[in-house]
Amino acid sequence: MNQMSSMPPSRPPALPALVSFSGDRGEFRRLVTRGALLELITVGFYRFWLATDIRRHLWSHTAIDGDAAEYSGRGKELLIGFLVALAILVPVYLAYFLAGLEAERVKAFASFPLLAFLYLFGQFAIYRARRYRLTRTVWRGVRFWMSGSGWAYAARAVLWGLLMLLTLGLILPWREAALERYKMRHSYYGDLQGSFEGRGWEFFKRGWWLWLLAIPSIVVFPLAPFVYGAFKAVEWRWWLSGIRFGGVRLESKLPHGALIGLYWKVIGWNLLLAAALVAYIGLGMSLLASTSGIPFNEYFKQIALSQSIMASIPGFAVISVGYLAFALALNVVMRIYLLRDMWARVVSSTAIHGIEAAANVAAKGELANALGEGLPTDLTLRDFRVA
Amino acid sequence: MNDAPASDGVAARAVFYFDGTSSRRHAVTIGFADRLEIVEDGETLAVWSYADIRRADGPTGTLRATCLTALPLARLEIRDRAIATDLIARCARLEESARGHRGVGAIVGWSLAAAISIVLVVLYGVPLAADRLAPLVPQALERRLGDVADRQIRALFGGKVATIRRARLPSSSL
Repeated sequence: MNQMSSMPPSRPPALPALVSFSGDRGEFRRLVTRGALLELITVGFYRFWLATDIRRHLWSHTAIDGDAAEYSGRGKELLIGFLVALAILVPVYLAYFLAGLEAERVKAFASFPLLAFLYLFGQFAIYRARRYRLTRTVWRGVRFWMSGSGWAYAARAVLWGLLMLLTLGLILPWREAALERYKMRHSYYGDLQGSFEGRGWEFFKRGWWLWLLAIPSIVVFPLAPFVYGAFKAVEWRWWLSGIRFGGVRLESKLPHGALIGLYWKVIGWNLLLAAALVAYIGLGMSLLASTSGIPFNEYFKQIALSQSIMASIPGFAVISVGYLAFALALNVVMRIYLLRDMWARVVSSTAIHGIEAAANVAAKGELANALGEGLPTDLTLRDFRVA
Repeated sequence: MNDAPASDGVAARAVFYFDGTSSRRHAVTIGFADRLEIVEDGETLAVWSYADIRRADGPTGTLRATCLTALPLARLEIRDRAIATDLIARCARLEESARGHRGVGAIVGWSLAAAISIVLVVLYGVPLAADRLAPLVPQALERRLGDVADRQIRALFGGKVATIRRARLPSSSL
């Protein structure tokens, strides 16, 4: 029997290249659990090295057309970026405090310009952080890199932000499209220039009903995770499908409901951990009461009389330990579900067309510093977006 | 030891080389001579000293190696366990660039030192500085600070704050 006859006939357009994620979930869980404990011991300083380890894990287990990516950043670079950002922000706060002495006399709470500046600086930081991560992303021995100006991006983001306020967020699709166009046309893989072809109108058509549901979902709690999960899925799919590098074209088939379960799991863990925290504090307090020799009711009366539970030092210690453990555990849960699992789902929904255009790309581009990474950012996958 | 390259049939699918100047994937064979030879179709692409070879971050089951004297992004990827073991045995300094237990210990130590220094500054440094600086603050500045706080409290609590009677300097003297 001829082996060839069982194969599908070759078609002129090549089959899309697959993107796959092969990371072991247990390994990631150990990584973030150990990282959370080290964060506790190092009063938070370990987060730069933990972020680096997380990215190394996610990048190196993500294979594009059979070849795994590599994250070449270092924790030390993130620490330096943080210190430089601190050196910029502390004088700004001080100068603002002094200027505020005059301004506040004119009108109380005239701190709007400070918030505006922080928003501008935050947008600048987003651009510079993206540039840092992109220049640390290597595939087939060639790095990604970025040109463009962080301030030019920040100015655009602020203007679009004003429009967002005026239109109650309805303009979000066009804002994202415009900002992605700026970011992508300044992104490169070697000498292959990026671009973004997602249209605001496309995003709007797919997501307008979620905008309508946004207000009810704030009031009706169980609706929120559905609406937000669906919104994120629509956004990911639209964003990924708009990415181009030269002749390379990405396409995502992420279903609407793909991420909703992850948000529910985080909520479930949150409730479980909160229940454990309450039980632990209750148990700890009863133990304290029994060892103090004072009858149970009297002990709590004393605490109530002193207005605050904080007045009792052992009680304060019990609550602090419990709360820290709760916060650390919640961090671990969020990193597992909202980083690792979400990454795995988004990545495996993606196909790449025209990958042969990236088969022989010349290396180009310089490394960028980690200044933008210095600002605290929320723990979402958005921070980990690279391409 | 066996100096001959691994058999072509296996190596062609198991060892890849990226030279760091382009994204071209070279299916190569490696030869364990006195230095590591990276060969594609009979042509030697690179020769790496074993002492300069370091591990780069790679997926589970793949040995991804780099070389100190080669281009920074040149990578050799070995996806066959037996070949990887052969190379690891020859590279005594393979793991030197990786962050081991000593690295984590240093991070913990320096973080604790930083935390202790911040606590000491807050406990002793700030009160000391405050004592030294307080007499130097002009009264006009103190009055301004007071005015600002006064306005904020009024704005926060609306009419619920009773007017505090106090002496006011003529504004021209401020």
